[in-house]
Amino acid sequence: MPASLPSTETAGRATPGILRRLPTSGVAMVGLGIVLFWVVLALLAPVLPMPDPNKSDYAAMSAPFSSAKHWLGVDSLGRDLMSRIIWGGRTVLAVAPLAVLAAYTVGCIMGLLAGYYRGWVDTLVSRASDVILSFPVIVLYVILIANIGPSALNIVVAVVLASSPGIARIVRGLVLSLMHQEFVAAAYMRRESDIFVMVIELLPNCRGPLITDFCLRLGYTTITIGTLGFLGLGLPPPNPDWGGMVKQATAMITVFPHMSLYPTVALVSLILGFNLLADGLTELSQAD
Amino acid sequence: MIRYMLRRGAEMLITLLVASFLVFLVTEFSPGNVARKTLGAFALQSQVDLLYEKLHLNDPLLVRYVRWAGVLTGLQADPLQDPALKLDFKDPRGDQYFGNFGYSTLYKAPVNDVLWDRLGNTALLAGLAFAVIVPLSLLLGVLAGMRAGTTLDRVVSTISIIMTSIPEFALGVILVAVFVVWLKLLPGTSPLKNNSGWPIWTQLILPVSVLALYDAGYVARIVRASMAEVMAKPYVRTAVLKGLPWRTVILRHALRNALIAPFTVILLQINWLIGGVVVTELVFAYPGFGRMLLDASLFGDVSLIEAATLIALFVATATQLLSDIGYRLLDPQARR
Repeated sequence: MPASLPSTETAGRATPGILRRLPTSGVAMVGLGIVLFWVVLALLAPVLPMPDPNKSDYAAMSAPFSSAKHWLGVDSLGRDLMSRIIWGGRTVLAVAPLAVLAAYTVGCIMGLLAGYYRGWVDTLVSRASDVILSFPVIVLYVILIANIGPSALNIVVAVVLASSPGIARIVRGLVLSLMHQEFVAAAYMRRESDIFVMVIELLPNCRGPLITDFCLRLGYTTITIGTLGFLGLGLPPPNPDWGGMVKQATAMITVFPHMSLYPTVALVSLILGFNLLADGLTELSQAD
Repeated sequence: MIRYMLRRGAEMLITLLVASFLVFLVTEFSPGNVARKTLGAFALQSQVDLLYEKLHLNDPLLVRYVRWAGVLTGLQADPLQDPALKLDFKDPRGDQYFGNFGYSTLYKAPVNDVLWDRLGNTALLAGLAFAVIVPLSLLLGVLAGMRAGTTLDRVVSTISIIMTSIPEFALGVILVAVFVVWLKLLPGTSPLKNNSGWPIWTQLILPVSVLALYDAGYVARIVRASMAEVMAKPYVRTAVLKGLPWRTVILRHALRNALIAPFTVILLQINWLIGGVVVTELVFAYPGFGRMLLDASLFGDVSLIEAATLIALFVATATQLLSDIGYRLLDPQARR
């Protein structure tokens, strides 16, 4: 999307940043609202007057539906569903951004090196990316996590491995298109170091498309974390994990559909929030 | 063009080779693990050690990879079928033939006996999903992109962004809740057997819907974006201004150009579908390739994981190759 790149005269200090124009996009604001809703709940989880997410209320198990004590009912082990959903949101909202940030760090380094040095570095990075990207994503996650074991750290590792090549590709393309700009030539004239040119001059000028891609990837990663949980490769029990909660409850879906539907709705709403945010950002950047 | 195809084909083979090494690295990195997983959790440590020795598992990874590739291509006999090991791994095809994927410890059968039926079932599922995705997403995308900004465009765009925000397993749960639990119209599992009280075609509706709805939303968005871009081009304006009927403008001028970019995206959906079937097949207990891969991974069935991943990789890279070549054939600008 070269259209969203800042023009040369404002290079480095771009025109009103895409993030500052965010309030003008209704779609983006709805998305941001949904995401913030979950962020606030996740932050408040320890102080909200809710039952412990891992404590069973055996009295409530005979009628696990919503009641004054358990607003959304309880799961098959008598644990409060609302509490588990909010605590589960905490995990997703911690792991997903962390994983995407880590993937971005690796991807930006790969993309900067490939686009800046070209030659064999570029060939190496591009070929390695091709290999990783030729894997169907879920298959890659499944064989990786099944072999290195399910844990929050390993999910981050798997996300880095699976998404950094895609990020590297985008950054490489952006860097290639920026290399001919005057501010890069100016930096050379000042005899700036390679690292300075890459990190201070090039990287900030890639940020428009990268911000959008970041939001999209947050959505994908949330899907991935949920899906892994559902496949039984998520966070180890008893910690609440949305995908894992759905998996546990699907066996009883004919009797107690609410046990699987509530965490599903929670997950879908968060992903929708990220996607709407990304959609709004795309529209803003295309309006440039 | 021929040279381009040959070059791309060679690149695909190299990618496959490197990727297969990666798969081997992930599954067989720790050699002790391989011996243990082959024999199962109840084998004595002495048996594990014996197998470790017989299979030369202390050799470097690269040596073991070459040996594994040798078994796969039929240059070497499968060491696991050696009767001296008393593993009772029997393959009617013999122990040395091209395409020998080894022996599945989960299903207690040669991988080739397990793999192909399930792959056929999955091909049926994915094929049906594809047959829904392509027309549906093209129709919605073109209609929405044709007059960007109208109510129809808004509705289609909103629905597709919602569809892409629902992971396959979540969509499965929602559809089961509505059509199985609430309306009692369809079966909740799809074992593809006739004795379950539901005809086989009814068992296919929900899994196909899950795969198709998620992907169709995504492809429709791409088609819409491409169509909207083309509609803003000067040649479309010219066509309108010179008084051509709207139909002709769309069919002869806009569509041809708007569908080049989605063509590649649509073929790449096959890569997505392979991942999608893993989840969908688990939700509906569908006897397919994806669930087999998941079961094999959870069980630690080394040979079956390697075989299944290789096939998934082959399908993915082959469609990538097809889409690249197709793109070249369709887009005169890319040919130069």
